[in-house]
Amino acid sequence: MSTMGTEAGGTAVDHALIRARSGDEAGFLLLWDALQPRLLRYLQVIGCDDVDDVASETWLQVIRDLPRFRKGGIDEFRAWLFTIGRHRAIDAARSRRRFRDKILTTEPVPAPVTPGNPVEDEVLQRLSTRQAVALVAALSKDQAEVVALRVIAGLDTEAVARMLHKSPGAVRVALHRGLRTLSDDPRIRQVEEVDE
Amino acid sequence: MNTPREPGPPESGIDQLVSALTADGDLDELASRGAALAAFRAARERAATEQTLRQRRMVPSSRPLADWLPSRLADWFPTRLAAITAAAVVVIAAIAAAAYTQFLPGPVQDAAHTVFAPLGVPGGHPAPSSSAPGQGPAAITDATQPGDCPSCAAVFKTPSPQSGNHYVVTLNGARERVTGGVVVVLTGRVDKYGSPAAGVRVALVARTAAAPRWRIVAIGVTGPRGGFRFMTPPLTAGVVFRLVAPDGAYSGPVRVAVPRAPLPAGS
Repeated sequence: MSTMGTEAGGTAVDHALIRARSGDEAGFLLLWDALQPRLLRYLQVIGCDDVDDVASETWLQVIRDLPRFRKGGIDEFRAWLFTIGRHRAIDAARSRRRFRDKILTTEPVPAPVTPGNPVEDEVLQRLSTRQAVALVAALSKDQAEVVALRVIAGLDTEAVARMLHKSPGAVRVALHRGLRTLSDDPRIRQVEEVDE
Repeated sequence: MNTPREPGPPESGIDQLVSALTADGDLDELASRGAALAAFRAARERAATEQTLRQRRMVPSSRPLADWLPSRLADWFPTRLAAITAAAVVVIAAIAAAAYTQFLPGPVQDAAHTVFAPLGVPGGHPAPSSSAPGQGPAAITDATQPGDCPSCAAVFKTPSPQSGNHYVVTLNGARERVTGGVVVVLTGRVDKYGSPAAGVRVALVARTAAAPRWRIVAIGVTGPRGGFRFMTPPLTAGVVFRLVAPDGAYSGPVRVAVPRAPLPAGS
């Protein structure tokens, strides 16, 4: 599992956040390592053009305002980070008028393989992160963003609802439909067939 | 981590998708780590510099407030104090303007008159005449002429108050007792046939206990809504005022008492 896995116990990243607030570089780096990849993937899913630039701007704002972030723990911080990222992405899209670019959907997905391949081949056939992001980005805009915020960002339903100005029920429905669409996707079925 | 992931072999396609989406960052994704750390260091140094400058600004000799206020409060104080002061000035100016134009309710107008009388703020609205209901507050005449005037020495011979033929005159004074030397503002309205009488010449007459004859102390012209406002000279003794309109109409009396100052002890 990822670095975020360590936060299941609510310790490592929580402590990193506390240390980062007090100016500790190691704490900040731990926080950044855990969240930066997910921020990039989220920005890719919502169709942001300049993912790296937007992520950099997001972190700059986070760094600037971190001393004033006093309420809540890592969950609130994560919601804050992705909210800032979303706003910066919208700003960038407004300036470029090219929001929701679907170019990522052309990311190649592995072709079916015949059973009995060596283990190495099977590993290679597993979904890469880029391909997974491309599959989520191919969903409708609402579903893609909900799936990204729930799965990639790890936000709970209420936080996503607040962020997208939707009801929690609408978020649950969008997530359910998005995951069902993904499970019905022939490329996902191919992966399942390979696994079997 | 709160993801809709269901662990357990064999891993389905959705599980693989979730695993891929939540995998650790690769080298490309973590490429800007150094830049992020540099930004973090720069922000920390900037914050430290600002903190130092803030502390220097709070040197006790230059800012005695910092001696007894907590640092955060002392930092907050000048900016917020300036903003609060500006807001208070605006509010007071707005109240004074509203009082000056008699837009305030009666009791509030009286209170404003008490505070802003030197600025010429009139007292409460005169009671609406029964013949002119619903006319709203009377406008203030801009032709009032307080204090000394050529006719102030004239004696107005009015044996007893009465209403005029077509005019109804009301006169109000916000304060019934004032200390010596205080200016009193008198307001009121003149109606003719139940409608505000604009542009009508009026005279404020007064008499004291020492001089029982009525004397004109000010003259003026009513405003577009029949209103008028007079500001008396500083009063030194109790006075009774009336307002005189054309056709021999005049208002009821308004008495303003000026109590004598207490005698010094031992005299």
